[in-house]
Amino acid sequence: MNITDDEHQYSDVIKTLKGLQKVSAPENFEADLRRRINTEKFEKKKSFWEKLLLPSRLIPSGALAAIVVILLFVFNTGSGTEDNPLLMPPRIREDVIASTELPPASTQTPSEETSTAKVKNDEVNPSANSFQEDFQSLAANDNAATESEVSNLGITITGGNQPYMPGNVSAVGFSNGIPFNKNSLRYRQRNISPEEKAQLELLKKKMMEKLEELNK
Amino acid sequence: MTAINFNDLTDEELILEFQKNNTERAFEILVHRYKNPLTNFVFRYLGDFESCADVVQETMIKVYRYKDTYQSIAKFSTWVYTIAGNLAKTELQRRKRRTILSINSYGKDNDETYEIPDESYRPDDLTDSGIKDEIIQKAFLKVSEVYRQAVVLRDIQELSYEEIADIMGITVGTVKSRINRGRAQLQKLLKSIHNE
Repeated sequence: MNITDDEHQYSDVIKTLKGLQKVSAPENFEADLRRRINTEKFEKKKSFWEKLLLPSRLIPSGALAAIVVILLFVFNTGSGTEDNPLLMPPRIREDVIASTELPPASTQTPSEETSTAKVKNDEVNPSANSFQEDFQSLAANDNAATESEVSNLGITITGGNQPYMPGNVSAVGFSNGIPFNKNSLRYRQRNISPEEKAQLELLKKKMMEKLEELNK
Repeated sequence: MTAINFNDLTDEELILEFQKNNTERAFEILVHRYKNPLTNFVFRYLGDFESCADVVQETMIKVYRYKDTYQSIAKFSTWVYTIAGNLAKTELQRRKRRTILSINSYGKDNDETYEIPDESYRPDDLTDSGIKDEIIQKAFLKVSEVYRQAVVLRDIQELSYEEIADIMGITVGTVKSRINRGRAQLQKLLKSIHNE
């Protein structure tokens, strides 16, 4: 090893260190090493999962987990923070309030109002009799020209020149301009008896005849 | 076909032979070549022969067990000195912890005061070379660890700056700086010997 310039100022230290006795390994170093290596060879190394799943580790950790679950269960059931549904105020349904706006009050006589109420009732629960009455009422107003208005019902029937078909309700609306159709009606569907059905067919037939006469 | 004379192979060839063919003879020759240099290095670093022998054995076991991690781009000596240096550092840390624990537990029960014996040598004792060696070793152990390792590798093991840089994982400039600082500390500590 060549002495560089930096090393000149510490030459005494370097000389002292180089003069130190060399320390050698113990006599039995290699034999001890061989023994240690052979011992390690026969010791099978356990993998991480094997170490983790040892019963000595698994049992305490399992017990701890069980205790935690039990404590959670106990404390969760004890703390009743939920409201009693019987004591809760009823929920206000704003959508229902909005749709229940009534049309402006009409200047009708009591008899007319009764008739209106009857018709409205029939909208909700139409029956063969109410149909019959409706058709009779329409037949009575056969002098209507292009636009027939049933003011007492609050219903306007437009397109008077065209033949009226029971299924065709698209042109029917409230007089205040709020449209409605068949789909928006909430009427109760019911199975009608054969007699009622026959009566209904008869009415339909009469209606058609009447409409044909009107068209003529 | 002629039999390979393993003694003629370089360190790198031997470790490659041990890696590829698991030739125990190649490993034995490496152990034979490095047991004394490593013992000297670790002893000067730790200052305790018993633990030094353990550290060197542990180093050789690591070479045996992790032979496949050695890459031929590095010198074998660099690799083996790095392992030994790391193990020696670990041993020093363990020893420090042990010392702190023993001092803390001493005299707790009976309110005794600490009496650490003064084992320093007087200058008039500096006659025997063995004692001189011991004084140098004791002074050496007072040098900061980072400087000490660099000084041992340079001035005792006589390795190049580049090799020391590789072993310690620092730049050559830092190695030179550490060596000079270590030497300066040692010079102060060994003033009495140098003034003789």
